[in-house]
Amino acid sequence: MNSTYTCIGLILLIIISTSYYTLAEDFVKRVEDAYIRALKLNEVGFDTSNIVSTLNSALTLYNQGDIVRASNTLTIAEQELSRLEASNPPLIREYHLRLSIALLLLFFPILAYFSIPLLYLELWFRLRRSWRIEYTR
Amino acid sequence: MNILDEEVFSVIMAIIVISSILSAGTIIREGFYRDSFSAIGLLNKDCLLGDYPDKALVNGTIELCIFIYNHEGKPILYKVLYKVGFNNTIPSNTTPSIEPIIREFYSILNHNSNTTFKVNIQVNPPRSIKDGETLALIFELWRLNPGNKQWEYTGRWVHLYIKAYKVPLE
Repeated sequence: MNSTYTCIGLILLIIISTSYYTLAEDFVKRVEDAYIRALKLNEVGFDTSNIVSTLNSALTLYNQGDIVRASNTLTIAEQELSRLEASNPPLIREYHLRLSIALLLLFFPILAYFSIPLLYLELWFRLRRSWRIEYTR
Repeated sequence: MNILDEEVFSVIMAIIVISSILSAGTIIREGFYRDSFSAIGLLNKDCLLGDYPDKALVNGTIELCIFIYNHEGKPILYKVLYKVGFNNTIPSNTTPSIEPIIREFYSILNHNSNTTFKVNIQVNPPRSIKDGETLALIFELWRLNPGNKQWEYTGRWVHLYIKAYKVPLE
């Protein structure tokens, strides 16, 4: 009788440990897929920093052995990924912004060349607005 | 000082031209030619530098902290592999350690961000050892290559030497 219970216990233990490892393996595969999806969205100009942070929270829970909560957090990140994938990518991307700022900076000396003398003269006259000119012999 | 004087104006214009070129160059360089690297660090159980354990029980546990930093210019999925080895089996910057993997820790980081997390690791030597033999607790940093979905060794690792004892020390 005792050996029967031991046998059943062992089988249950094997089933539980096998399902745990399958769940863990599936979780890592899901994270890998989510990461690649987030990277693709990032490349077309979406801000994925919040999704990456959510994924990192899921991985922290996974590292602590809390697979159920980790899986739930991962689901939230996956839903957010699906929402972004269904929307249009932003028109202005980071490198557009950087190039625009760089071009503006390169045009600044030309602007300064013409505007500094004008501004200086404007200031010069403003500061001397109340001056009175007197002719003396 | 009359800034409309030719010499003064030339100096002002030279300063403006040089600073605008430098600023534009920095902005473009940061966007397109980042110095990309990843980093891993080992901290003590309080997540501070120094005061590391120097001895442990065989099959006992040690608490440490792992620090990871991403400066690759994009989000990276990392994996830290924990192995126990010896002086002659520590990794190099091109090849990982040949010792078996004991545990894996995962993390995903945005560009220019870092994480520090606690790890409880078991001191499981890969073979039977002498009492007081020196072991290396190895932590290797791996990253997922999104192109082929394969994990790649970054060439970064940290290790801590400890003396392993079979019976508790007084």
